Amino acid sequence: MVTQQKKANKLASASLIGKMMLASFEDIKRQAAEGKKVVWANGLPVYVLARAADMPVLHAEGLIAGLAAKKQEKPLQDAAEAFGMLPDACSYARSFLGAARIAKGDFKLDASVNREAVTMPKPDLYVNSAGGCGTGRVWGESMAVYLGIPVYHFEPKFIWDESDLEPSVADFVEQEKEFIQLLEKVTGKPYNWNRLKELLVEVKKAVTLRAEVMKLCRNVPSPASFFDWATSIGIVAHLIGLPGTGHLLTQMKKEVEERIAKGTGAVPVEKYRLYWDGILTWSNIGGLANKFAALDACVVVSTYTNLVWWPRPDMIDPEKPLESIAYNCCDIVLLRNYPYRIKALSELCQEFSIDGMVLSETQTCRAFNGHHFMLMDGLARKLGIPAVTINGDSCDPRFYSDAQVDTRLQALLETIDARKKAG
Amino acid sequence: MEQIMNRFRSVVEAPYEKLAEWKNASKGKVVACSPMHFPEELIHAAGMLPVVLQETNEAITSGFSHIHPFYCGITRNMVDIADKGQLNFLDAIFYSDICVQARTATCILQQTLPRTRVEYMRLPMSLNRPNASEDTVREFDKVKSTVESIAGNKIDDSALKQSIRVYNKNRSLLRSLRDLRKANPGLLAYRDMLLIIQAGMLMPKEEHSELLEKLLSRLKKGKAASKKGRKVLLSGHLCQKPKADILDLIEGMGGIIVDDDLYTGYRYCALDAEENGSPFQALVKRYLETSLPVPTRSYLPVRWDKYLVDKATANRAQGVIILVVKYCEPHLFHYPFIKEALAAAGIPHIMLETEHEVVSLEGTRTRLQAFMEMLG
Repeated sequence: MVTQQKKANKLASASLIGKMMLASFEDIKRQAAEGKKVVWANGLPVYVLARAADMPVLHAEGLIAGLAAKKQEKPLQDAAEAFGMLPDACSYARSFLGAARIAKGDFKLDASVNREAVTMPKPDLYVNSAGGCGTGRVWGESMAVYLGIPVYHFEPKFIWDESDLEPSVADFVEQEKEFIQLLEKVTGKPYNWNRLKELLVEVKKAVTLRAEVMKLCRNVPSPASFFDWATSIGIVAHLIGLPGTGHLLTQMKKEVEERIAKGTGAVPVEKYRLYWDGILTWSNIGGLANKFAALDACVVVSTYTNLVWWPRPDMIDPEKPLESIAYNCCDIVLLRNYPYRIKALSELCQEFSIDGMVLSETQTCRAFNGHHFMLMDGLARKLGIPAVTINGDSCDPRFYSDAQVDTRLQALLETIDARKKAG
Repeated sequence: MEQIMNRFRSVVEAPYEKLAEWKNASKGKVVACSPMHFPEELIHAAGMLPVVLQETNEAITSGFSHIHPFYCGITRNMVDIADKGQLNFLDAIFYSDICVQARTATCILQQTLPRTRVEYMRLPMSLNRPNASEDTVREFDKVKSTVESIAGNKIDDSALKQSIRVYNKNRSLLRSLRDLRKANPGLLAYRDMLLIIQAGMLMPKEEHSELLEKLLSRLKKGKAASKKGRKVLLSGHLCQKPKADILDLIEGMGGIIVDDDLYTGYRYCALDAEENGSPFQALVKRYLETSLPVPTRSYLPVRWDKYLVDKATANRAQGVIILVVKYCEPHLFHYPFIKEALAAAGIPHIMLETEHEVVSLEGTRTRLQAFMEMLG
């Protein structure tokens, strides 16, 4: 059992993200009450296209991760399971289907449930843009059928080898055009291309800034950790393009630079620098952050935070908004074959001076786990970096075991120590 | 008849061993494809033996060094037997994008089978997109070029037309077999009917059709005792065979399986490709204009839940037995809707989760018995 005396030194500015997320959910409710048509979405941030059509967008993973982090996800999962969903299905999807049942008034909530937190306005349109995950398709289809609303399915294709990227981007641009036609049909208004370009200016600033700040974690000790950056996904996912996000990132940058100047780290003592692959177990984000801190380990970089959300800021040109979005939805690591992944991860491990790797077995997400063992083997062979898997799940705490995580982390750190001693 | 069944059984019980033997004897090339969407006719037209990857009953051992236990049975099994070297004899493997687990398997197989060409086919998933036809043509064309490079020869239209005819004939024979059994369920145990279909995925179609013709003529002459019992429809298992023990349990307790929508059942032989016009376009059309519900695709003209209610009604099934492969996400998302639709139509159902590993059948027996009794 890990004795947790030392605690994670979380970025104060990162804690503001949760408040912004809550405010945005309230804003969606307000706009829906005023008669605006609402979009529900899952997956990659192509739904920014709907924001330009002045439609409030609720991002599934943003809502569910936030609820799980506050341990409020259970009523949603109960609602889905009462409908016949089995717990082996993606917990984001299951929970969002539960949210649909609650929004439709088909599931009776217990008196103890925070109704405001789990009740969202019923949508008028659904958009599925799951990247690297076939489940997003059946998820989106289920949501649309259940809610009786139109759906658009984006399908960024798997990049088996490099020659597949450009055709995939070109095809994605066509899909965006089809989606915009659907938006025009649903809103009954011509699409606001100028607004989209304005949004892309903001998006470029935000994602470029976030990438720059995350790079500052190359510093030793690292001024922030994966747990801060995981929280900040909200800025580039659910909140993307909304007012205040650029300012928040500027605050984060300032805080990180101040920490570097003072030599302050994200953990009180940074003895080990770790890489994280897989989704975070949102229901235990605080506990995990403190657990690593107590072991003098800082998770400084991850696939989830660094290679999935807007990974190509360089390709954003507001004058070419569709292509800009397409590159950032098609060229993500989850849509890449193993040779690309091992190269990308090796580069990050070297850039951030990584000692060891933690692979989070996200039990109900088969998109993130597929390459785990090959990556473990590959990185051990290529860079001599030891790794462990820990169990968990994105949003279903039933799959998480604290004792197992303790044992495996201790084993990893002991291995790192032994290797360091051996030179 | 027993001799024919023994031939089919030998192919299904040790598929990769038998295929390796075939390859050694014939000096031909064997190309495997993943279940569901791959146009086997393209491989056949290039003069190679197309086979559909099949789950074996082998316990998963060393494969766990590549894949987590929470992937479905066929995915884990493929990774495992590839790791053990059982697929080394294959000249190529084509996977198509059935689901995220199949994609994972492709990436792992590419690394574990360095001497076998492993390729991935990416078909449009939204069948009603304006460019779906163009997209399918592009992908099939890419596959055709790859198949040609493996075979070392070009596929011309006349060869492809001939392959379509060979495959259509085989499907037609399988449908005749199913019709015959439907009219007289006592003729053939369901496990044997599925075994016959599965054998066709693992041996030259010409040989399979020849044996089928002989079998059909004998079955037509045979007089099985009339069978009475509770009529049930079998549904599920999108890409892998069901455990034969479960089929035996159903029939052993007096159930008559009137029809199915399993991949190793009706789905495999349901759709022909057109024999007139461009053979290449015929394959594209078959993919896009499917009359079957395809749970891994979207914007389907037919929803699975509605299809199942209609099928159960048409077959006068008293109940539906749904076999869900554990961790099969496409099925997990369709199941709640199927459950609702069957309930709304007043058709009882039971859902059984199945696993690669053989588990005690006693629990399944008790549940099935209760279900059968409920049917009256």
